Amino acid sequence: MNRNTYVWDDKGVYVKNLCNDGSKYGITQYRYPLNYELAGEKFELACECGKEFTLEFLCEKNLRFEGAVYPYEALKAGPKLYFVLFNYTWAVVDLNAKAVTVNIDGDICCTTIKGAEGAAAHTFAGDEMVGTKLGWIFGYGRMLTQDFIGEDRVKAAWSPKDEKFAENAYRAVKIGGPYYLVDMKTDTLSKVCAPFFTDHVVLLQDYDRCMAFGAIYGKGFEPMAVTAYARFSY
Amino acid sequence: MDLTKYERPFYSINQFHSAHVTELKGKKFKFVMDGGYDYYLNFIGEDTLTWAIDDAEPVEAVYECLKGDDTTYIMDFDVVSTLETDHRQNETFVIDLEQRLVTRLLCTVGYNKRLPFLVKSEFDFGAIDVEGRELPFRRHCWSSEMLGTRVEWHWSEDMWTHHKYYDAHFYTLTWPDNSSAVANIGDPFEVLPSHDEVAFYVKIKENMYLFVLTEELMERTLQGGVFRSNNMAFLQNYDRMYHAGRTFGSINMDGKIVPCRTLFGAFGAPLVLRDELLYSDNAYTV
Repeated sequence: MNRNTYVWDDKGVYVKNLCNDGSKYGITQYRYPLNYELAGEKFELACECGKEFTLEFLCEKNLRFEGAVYPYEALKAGPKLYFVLFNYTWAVVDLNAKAVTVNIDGDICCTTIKGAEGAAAHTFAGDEMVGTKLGWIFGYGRMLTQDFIGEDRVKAAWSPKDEKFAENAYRAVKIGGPYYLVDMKTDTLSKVCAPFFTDHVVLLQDYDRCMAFGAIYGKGFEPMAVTAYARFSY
Repeated sequence: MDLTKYERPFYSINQFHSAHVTELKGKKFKFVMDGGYDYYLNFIGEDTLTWAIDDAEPVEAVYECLKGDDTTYIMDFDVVSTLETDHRQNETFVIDLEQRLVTRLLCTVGYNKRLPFLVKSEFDFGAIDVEGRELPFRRHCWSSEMLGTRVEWHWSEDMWTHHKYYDAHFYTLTWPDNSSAVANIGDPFEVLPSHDEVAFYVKIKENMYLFVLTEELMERTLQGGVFRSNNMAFLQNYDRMYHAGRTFGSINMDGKIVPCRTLFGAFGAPLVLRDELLYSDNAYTV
């Protein structure tokens, strides 16, 4: 037994240590508290491609999208900026730009709120992220490193540190200011901190506060909301 | 471009705090406090509220709010009438909607003639009144359950510190050599007899505690450092291992003592302390 992991008082009585490695949560350990500010909001959305949608947050737990009701989880990434996980997909609700970017069957659709003054849709980031290399820490000993090497290719590795970086496809959307939405595909993972059948990871990355809010998706498990903080040296 | 070089302001303990939470907007609360009074909060806007004690006229204030878990908030505001005076006050509440309980922390500077920047902390516990329902009999409470806990808190991309919670009235702060804490907060500690400070521990619920420290021993010893008796209130979540909080106190900025106010947050990790730190003496106590 490691003396530094357990402490006894001078009479030999064990003194507990509340600090723990969050193992019961795994990759979702640092997920921030859910945010309920969108409850009651209804957005009519329009995309330049001609598609129109309605996104309605019915309450703190459920939303309606394209007529169907789904449970959702929202994380607040910044002032009036939210990552929303629902129905095996995601949306970024940006009330600053009056814009909502949503993934519909694999297509990323950058919409604006109809009738909102000054609304500006998010745009694809192109090669803006190329040259960025950092680690995202989701929990104790749970890290994803990303090295953006092209406008659609990123080298990535999961902890425990894998010398073999995988080259993955990604798409990035410029949300505005320090915020980028990164949707990265990944091959089946083995013996790493992410679930075995993880197939893509979506992170709303904040390069000012150096935190990320998003979700992990894959086969055989429900999508999981995550929060991470950044390390530039690891 | 290399976004790790994104032009950002200087951060120390305030980089990893979550965004200000506005979801209490539109809500009204009546807190029935054990101190024998009722405390009313009316969240009239995304960052404004009115507060009143018993029948007093409601007073407006600007508030800050963070969450410790899905239903527990740490919310604070400065008492407007005391701003720009030498006896500033700050009200901090832990609002626990799950258990309908509340903890109030009233902080005051300017009460000590010899040490005018010292922060005094006064606590009270209570319950949230809901019409048609009985008040809970449980309360948030003083607790020794955190004692023995050691955590490495990651405050920013390059700053992490070590906390040791070992005594009902004190805690110890240290940091490793590879943390920017060495440069950011290290200097005063080089002349202090030890790294201990005054602390309070309140249990909010299972795996959630309000940990409050005051830079009192530092102020008594130095009376002239950079930080002048800041009070830090941490709502600590030991389920997921993070915390959210605020500071209230004073800081020396280029020779002028000004209010020090910031929100903060950090992510926690297990820590192995060297024996000389784990079993170090508190030099301030007999």
